[in-house]
Amino acid sequence: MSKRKAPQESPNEGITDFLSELANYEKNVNRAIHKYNAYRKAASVISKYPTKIKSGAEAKKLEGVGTKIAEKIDEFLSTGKLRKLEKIRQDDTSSSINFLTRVSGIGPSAARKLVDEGIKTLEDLRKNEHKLNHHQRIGLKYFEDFEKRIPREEMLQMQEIVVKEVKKLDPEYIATVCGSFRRGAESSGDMDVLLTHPCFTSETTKQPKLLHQVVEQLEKIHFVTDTLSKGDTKFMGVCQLPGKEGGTSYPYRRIDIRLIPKDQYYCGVLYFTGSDIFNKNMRTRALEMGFTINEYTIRPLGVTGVAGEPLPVESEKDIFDYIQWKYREPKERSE
Amino acid sequence: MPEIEIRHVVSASSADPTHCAENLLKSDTYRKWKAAQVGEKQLSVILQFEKEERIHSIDVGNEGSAFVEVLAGSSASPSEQDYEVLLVTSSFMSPSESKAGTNLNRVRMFGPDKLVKAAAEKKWDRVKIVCTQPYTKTLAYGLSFVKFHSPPENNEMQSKSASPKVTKLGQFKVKDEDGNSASMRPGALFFSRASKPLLMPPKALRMEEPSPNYAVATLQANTSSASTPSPLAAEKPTAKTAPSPAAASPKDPAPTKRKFEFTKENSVPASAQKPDTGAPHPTQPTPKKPKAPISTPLPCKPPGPKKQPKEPLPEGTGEDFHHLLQGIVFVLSGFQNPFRSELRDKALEMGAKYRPDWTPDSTHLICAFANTPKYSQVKGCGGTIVRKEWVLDCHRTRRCLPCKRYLMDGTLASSSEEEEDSEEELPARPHKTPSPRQRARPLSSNHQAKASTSPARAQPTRGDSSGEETEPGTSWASTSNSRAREENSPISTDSEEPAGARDNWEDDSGDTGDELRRVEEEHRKKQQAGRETAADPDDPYGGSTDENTDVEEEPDQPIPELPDFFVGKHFFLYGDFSSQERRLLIRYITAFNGEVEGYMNERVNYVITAQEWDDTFEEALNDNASLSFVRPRWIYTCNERQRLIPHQPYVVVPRA
Repeated sequence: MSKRKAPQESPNEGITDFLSELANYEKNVNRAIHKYNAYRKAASVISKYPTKIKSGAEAKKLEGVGTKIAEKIDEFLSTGKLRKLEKIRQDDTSSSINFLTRVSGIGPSAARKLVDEGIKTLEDLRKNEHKLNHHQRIGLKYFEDFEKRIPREEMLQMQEIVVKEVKKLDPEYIATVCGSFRRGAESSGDMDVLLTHPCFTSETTKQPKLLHQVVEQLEKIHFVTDTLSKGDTKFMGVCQLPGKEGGTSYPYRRIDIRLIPKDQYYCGVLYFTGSDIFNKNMRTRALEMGFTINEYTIRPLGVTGVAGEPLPVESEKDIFDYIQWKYREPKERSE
Repeated sequence: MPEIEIRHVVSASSADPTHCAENLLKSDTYRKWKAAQVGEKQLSVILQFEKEERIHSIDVGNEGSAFVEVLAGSSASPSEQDYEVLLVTSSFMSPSESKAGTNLNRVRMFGPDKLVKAAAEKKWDRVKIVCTQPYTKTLAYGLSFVKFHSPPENNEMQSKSASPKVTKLGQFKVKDEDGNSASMRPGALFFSRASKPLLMPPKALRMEEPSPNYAVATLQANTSSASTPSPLAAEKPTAKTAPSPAAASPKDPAPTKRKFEFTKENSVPASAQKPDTGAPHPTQPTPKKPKAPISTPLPCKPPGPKKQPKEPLPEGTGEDFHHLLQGIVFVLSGFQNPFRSELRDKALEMGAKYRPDWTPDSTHLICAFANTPKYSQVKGCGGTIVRKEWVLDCHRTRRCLPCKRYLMDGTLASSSEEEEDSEEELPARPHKTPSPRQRARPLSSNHQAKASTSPARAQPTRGDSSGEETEPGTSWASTSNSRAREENSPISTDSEEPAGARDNWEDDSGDTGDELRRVEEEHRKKQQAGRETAADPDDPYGGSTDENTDVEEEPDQPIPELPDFFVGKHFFLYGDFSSQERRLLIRYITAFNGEVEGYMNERVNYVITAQEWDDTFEEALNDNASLSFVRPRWIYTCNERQRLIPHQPYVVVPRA
């Protein structure tokens, strides 16, 4: 998942921005993931609000906005800023930690460690590259590029390349680009490819070759430029579209490729297509109907609540059918 | 692998008179167990083994179920509910097959690797098989057979591995070529799906549809001239079958009928019911056993009527009963299984139709509590929302009661006149309620007399004793309840409304003996309490309000003042707490007048944390030296002692 969530055009951008900032602060500095989630939820609901919010009380009517956030909105609306946020921003440590976590491969704890050692800026990082691991070095190398969102137009081109190369290797491969792109988003943070092959199922042994030959092929045509990590089933790396005619080159992009057993493929596609809120709703519905869904399988629940055998799934629609839900196209899943 | 002998059927949640659960005991695969009604969402059967055994493998022949789960239990177990999952819910038909009514008779064999290990290692003498079919409302589904095998003896195992495995299915033998059929992949099942035939392992072919093929083979042997236009017959006979028509035909006195049944069942499952019975069962309501095809009586009958709650209904009540709620389309909300299915089954039994979700044709929402999502939805579109007691009472009293008094939105206590009126309008009520007289009746009147004149709302129709036999468990409970109440009449009959409501409330939990005893105990207590409080005979409502909840029986005392020893203290919860624990902590802190801070700030005195010392603590201390890091235990202990205790023993300290 990309580190940056898509910014949304909204009449309440000021509010959502400060909420996102608080969310990141809670996650990266305080390691309070629930507060992070609470702020994110509030930001998400406010970003969908059609009109400009005039008071905290007005915002409080929305689900996910409670007293505390409403107070902050009031403060923001009346003074144009937030004392808490000002304080956080002034606090060198928190802002440095927050900043460093924007580098791919640097999480909250690595960031804290680096800040403790006095490394607080990109320059500091570049001077201390020996303290970074491989992933972090690449994250640093492409820092500016990775911060850029990928326009849909480019995603389509990238998709075309990946699918073409994969089919060239073996037409039996199935590759799907998931994430917000599949839901029709105008821009994406990174590219998430789900790959499967009929001869790889959860009953067979692992077949890392199926993944590695795809990666090698993409490296051969210079689409994949760097590798962050490569396991038996998951590749994380960097890719770049071939340069334009005029000589300007495209930014480097983050790409993940996951190899998934065929029988679990569509549960995976469903899961990685999201949105996360849609997934949550769908899992809730499944439970009501006596099923449990995760990123691998859908299983019926027995009378005592014991999950049954994984059900055969040949398409995303099969999963909807099991829980007797009307099929929803990926575009309709951005709740 | 020796087959485990099944002695008898202990109980079945539902069974068609012809396709009764006892059919599972017979080796003929064409004798099936099916639900009594089409569209039941779940049905279950409990089988009793000859003796306690370990279960090594299970073969299941399907008859229209989407999922089958097998649980194992012991008859010596104190609780009926002590079943352990032996075979997890396994899929037999996909939703599309269920809707199309195709591939109804898949056979799956579950070897030891497919069974839940912990359960397979123990010995059991009972199994409970649960079938579900949520995808079609037009099919009476069930099982065609089930076989259990105990672990093979050693020498047998060797000979097995040497020669091709032969599995006996009913009268037929399936030769298992690779000896691995039990571990058939789940995905393999649906290979026949026309759209994606290539992706399936071909070995599944062999297992496909043996059962209809046996049937076809048998039929062809019996009525060689007749063609069998079964859609499934077109598929290749897959298992190597050795049909023995000589053995089968003498047992089957109506071969042509049989044939009809099969073709009908496979193509038009919904209408399969009527033609196959010797006589259509609505007009012949008491076939305890299927009539024609069975020549030998069963070795053991089910032990008592109590264990067979869903026997076909006796004459008279049966037919009406099945149509009591005809035209009602209901939706359930807020109920959990197994009660949910119980409730649904009852309503279905009375001819109502079930929908998993509110649809435009739905009429009633049966709701456990207000403000479920469905409740709001249905309230929005103006549907009738009733409590579960409506179904339970209808079922128990065998009458279509007006749902007015069961409405969810608090109109329970509305004008009773109105309710009486609407009741009297109902033609289905055999006993008219002389309600005004009843209400005017002096409280001190003879209880027995009251019982006889009392309307039968809260009790099953006594004269209809045969009706009671059909549901012995519940109706016994309700009769004794109402009997107990009759003796209690000063409390219970003085105001009819609440009494009826209470009845319902108690009856739905009155299914087991334990519950019953509990209820009776409560009655005794309440009776005493009632006598004490209702000392004034002029008070017509004496004691009645106390009866609903036990809590209310305690005299009202002023709520004690909470100590406020946390006053002026500010707390901050740091780190991960379960939401429950967080809530509890915040509750206690607030209760004792402490302040919970949402964020770390300079006012905080105590940081409550379950985590170990880490660097952030250091930093926080630098900002605010008076800070204390304390374990949640401190708060709990303060609460337990109801006073402020020193926090020092609970502080978090840096690790050495």
